[in-house]
Amino acid sequence: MNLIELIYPQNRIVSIVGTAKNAGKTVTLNEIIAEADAKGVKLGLISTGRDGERRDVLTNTEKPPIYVRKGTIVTTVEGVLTDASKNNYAAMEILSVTSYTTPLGRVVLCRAASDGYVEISGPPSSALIKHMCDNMLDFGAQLVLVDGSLDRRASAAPFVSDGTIIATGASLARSMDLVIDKTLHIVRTYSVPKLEEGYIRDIAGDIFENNKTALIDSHGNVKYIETQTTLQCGELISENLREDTAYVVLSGSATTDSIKTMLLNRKSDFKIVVKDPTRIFISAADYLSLQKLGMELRVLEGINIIAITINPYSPEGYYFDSQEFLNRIRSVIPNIPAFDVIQGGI
Amino acid sequence: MLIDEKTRKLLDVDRVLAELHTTTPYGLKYKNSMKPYTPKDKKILENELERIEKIKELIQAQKPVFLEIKSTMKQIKDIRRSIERTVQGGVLTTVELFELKNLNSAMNLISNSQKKLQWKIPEKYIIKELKWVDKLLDPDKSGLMTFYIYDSYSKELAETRKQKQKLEQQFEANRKNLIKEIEQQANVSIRITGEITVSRSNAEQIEKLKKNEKLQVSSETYMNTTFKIKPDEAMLKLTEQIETLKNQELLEEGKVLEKLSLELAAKSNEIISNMEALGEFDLLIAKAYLAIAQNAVKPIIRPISQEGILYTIINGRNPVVEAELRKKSKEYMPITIKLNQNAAVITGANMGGKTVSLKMAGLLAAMVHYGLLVPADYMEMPLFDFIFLSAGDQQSVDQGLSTFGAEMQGIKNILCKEQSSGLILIDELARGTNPQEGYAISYAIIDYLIKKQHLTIITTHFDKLVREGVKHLQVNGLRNIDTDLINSPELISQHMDYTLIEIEGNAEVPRDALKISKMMGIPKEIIEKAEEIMGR
Repeated sequence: MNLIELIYPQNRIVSIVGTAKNAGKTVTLNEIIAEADAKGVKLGLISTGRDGERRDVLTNTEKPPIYVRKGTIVTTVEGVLTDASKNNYAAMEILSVTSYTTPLGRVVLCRAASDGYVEISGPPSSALIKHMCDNMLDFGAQLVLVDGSLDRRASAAPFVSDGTIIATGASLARSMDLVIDKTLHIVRTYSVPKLEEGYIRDIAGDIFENNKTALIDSHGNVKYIETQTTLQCGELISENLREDTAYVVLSGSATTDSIKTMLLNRKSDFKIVVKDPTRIFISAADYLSLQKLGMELRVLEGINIIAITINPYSPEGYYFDSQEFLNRIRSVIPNIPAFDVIQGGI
Repeated sequence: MLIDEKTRKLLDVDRVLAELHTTTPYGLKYKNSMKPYTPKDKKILENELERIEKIKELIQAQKPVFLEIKSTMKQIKDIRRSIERTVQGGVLTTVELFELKNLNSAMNLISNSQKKLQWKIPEKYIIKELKWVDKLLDPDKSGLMTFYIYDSYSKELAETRKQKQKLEQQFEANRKNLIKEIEQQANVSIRITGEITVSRSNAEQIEKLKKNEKLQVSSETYMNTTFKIKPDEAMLKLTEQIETLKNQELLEEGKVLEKLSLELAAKSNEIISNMEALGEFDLLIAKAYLAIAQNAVKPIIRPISQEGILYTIINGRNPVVEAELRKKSKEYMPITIKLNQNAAVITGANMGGKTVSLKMAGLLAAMVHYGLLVPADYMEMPLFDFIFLSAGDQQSVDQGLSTFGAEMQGIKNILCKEQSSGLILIDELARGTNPQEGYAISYAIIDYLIKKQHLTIITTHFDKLVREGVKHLQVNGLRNIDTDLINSPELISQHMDYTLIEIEGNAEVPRDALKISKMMGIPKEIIEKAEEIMGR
């Protein structure tokens, strides 16, 4: 099975998120680009990182460049377009110039007028990325790929992309066990169950709409809590917990500290609801202990994980046995297809 | 300087100008360089005021056209520097040309909107349709708002690209054939990228592939070996040819950009003057919208006459104070001031809004000088050479001058302005010193100013500053109100009648400091003592 078969036409905007630097995100991207080309799917490309560098500054490993076919819609920056030294870069037709700036100039939407290399860029916030993804679809892209940088997991948020591909690899940790554990944790976090109760979903949706934090009791009554940030809100929520509190709706992030405080002060069993899994910031170890304390976490919108790609190589010089790595990932995460995009793998 | 910095600040001129919302960067530039009109600009100012009035009417009559103009203006970016660069021989980038193409299309739209207006537009506001720019940046007449170095710019470029594409297609076909060939021959499956990775455990296969002349090793690790297809002679030659064509294409593209920039430079003045017209038009519209928001009218500019300065505001409102009050859902009480003499004093109750009225008179005059309509039912005034306000000047006090010292320093500068005609506003003249001397110096200053071509308005608590040649305005105040029932600042301001009434003859300045003190809750004992002293 090809990656593209899993992606298209089921999804229109797909993000690719790496679990670590050099986890094989760009290789994955190139693979999808090549497969999309073979299938004749017109692509749009955008990145959440501001990097356009061919060399990874941190580890000094060469980043694989991105080669596109004529007609691909690309989000790039002004500085790259006007750099005459890049003669093997694709010629570009300019579609629109945005007001978002990067160190290399403004973010520009282009259509490749010939085959060639490109440097992908994008605006700084996920709302703007979503907006530009829609623009690319309007300009004729059939599938938009969002190259999500490590610190910008938000591109996986369901309001940005329809589905996500997780790129993980040896660079995440020294031992295969650790890499698998950490990857599994990310997958678990992204797979936190959706809030099911229909009318509570409507109420929670309104609370998120207003960007508020609130409690819902067993009769569906809402009590808003004025909090500045979710970081300090554990105590404030705790003070308001009652015997009939059924849901705690958090508009910001779910963090270990705030949830722990709530659970220690609880007077009833309640579910904690966040907007989507990218709002959850709990480490694997904390997650287990919070579960023991009785944490029931729910999301309003879940993330559709399309596939996991693995890269058995780390630029630090060590690598895993590709087949073993792939087999183990597949056995611990059986319901999501996994690929070794570096080796092909069976 | 027509309005000095301190006066400007005290009158809140900048807060009024901040409400002037231009839409384009060109309009903003004109707004930021706005300067007060001087008496010799009378005719120009009158024309400007008339135009604002006209636009104000048009906005009401042809609202959709203005909405159209505004929404087009919103997309406009400042690319003046790009155009100026062409004049200095600079070559524009594709991004800059894209922006110019979009600007020009926006200008065309606004030009069309302008034609719909029932107005004979003065030359400096007319935005012209520059057909030659359209033609230059959309050579194929596609009507699209995108930009590309189109084939039609240069025969050489078109030919190079055609060649290159042909060779690239050929190369791709060769590559695919080669992959297929190897796959069949070696019975392997090669990835789309032309690579195949084999695990070291499959040594036999590695050996086999290593012997395959159509493959080459691209990387080896201790676990596996990756092979890449080896381009054949024909492919290598194609690669070389494509490379040459690419360089040629780049060269041709550069030539096109240079040619386009030269053509733009030759007629850049047309683009620049369109930007200027757009800026002027934008600012004019902003002034009209402000006038609508403030329910403002066109003031009438009078000449300075020997018989006294005609200065009339009917139901004037201080737009800054009015906006503040509106936020608290309170209403502003409009004030009428009618003067035809060179000096006036405003007296009246404490908390009666004397200072607010004084500042209103100054601010509205400043707005006229800035070419704005005024928030009033009617206003007439001459143009002044300067506007000056003296009011509790904390800044100078901080610098070590006493209240009185700072006041006298400011007034001195004004008294020295011999050969001009100014609007001089003084809030509680000489309040910072003892009443006897304060009265004497105030009397003498008014005496001096009365003989000049200035209009002086002074708020005061001093009796007897009113005399021949000085108009006396008094705050109506808390008349006919049972003062026993009022005991808070809110109630006082609720019952306060801020209206200014004209007092004929030698009326006394109202004495209500004790009344107000009582209402503010000063202990009875003190009030009684004070009344006793007053009775002596």
